[in-house]
Amino acid sequence: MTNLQTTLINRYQTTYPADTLKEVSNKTGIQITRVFRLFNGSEMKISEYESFEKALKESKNQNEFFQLSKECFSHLNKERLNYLSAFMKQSLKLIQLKNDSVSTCFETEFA
Amino acid sequence: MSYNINLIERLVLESLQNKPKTALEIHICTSLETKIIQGVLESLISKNIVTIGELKYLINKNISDEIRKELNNPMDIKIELAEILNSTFNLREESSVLKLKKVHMNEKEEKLFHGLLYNMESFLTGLEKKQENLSKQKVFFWGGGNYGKIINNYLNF
Repeated sequence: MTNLQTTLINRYQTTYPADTLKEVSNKTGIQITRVFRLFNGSEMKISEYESFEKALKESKNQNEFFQLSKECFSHLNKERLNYLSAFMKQSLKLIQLKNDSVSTCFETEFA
Repeated sequence: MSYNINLIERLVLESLQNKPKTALEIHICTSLETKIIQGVLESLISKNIVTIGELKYLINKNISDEIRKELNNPMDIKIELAEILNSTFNLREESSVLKLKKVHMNEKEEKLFHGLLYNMESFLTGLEKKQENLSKQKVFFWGGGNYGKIINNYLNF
């Protein structure tokens, strides 16, 4: 296993410490048996390397979003929070109408 | 908790405003994909805003006051307007136009401006309303206010 590959897998395991092989497969789009082999030293293809990088980037975006949400919740007044909440609900509803697959959403009101 | 009506649902309701329609007729009237129409109708039926009669969908005339209030929730209307502005902004390099001007106006100029606005509104109100294809309609919005008051409201929101 190359140093680059080891570093990448370590970064992945630090970011997603509880992921099973199946979850790694779902996040990266790499077959589960191939994930097993990669974790056991098989050499990565460039496309696989990119899939891991993409999964890590998504995690970074997700964390930033959650962090931002927390900061908004702590600092914004209830009117702004209701506005943002309504915007998020509308966005989610639009996706639901388009995909018909997202489970029903939040009903929070910052009263 | 409000119903959070969105632009797509509003369009479907507008298509049913004059007469009941089948899903296919709604599709012809709105140009929306049938899958989306189905989702919208299910959502509106679950809230009893739309009902089914003689194989056609129609707006429930006996809508409850509670639902009526939800449909006119000021926050949702605000979001709807913001979404229209957002989409128009995104389309601005194609056929859409979004302009904003900050100007000084004296009393006379303001009167003149309101006169022009009145003429424009009269023109738009006088245009014939057709129901064939709502998606071919043009959307216009206008408005204005005191810059200082707008900034003040923004600061306090």
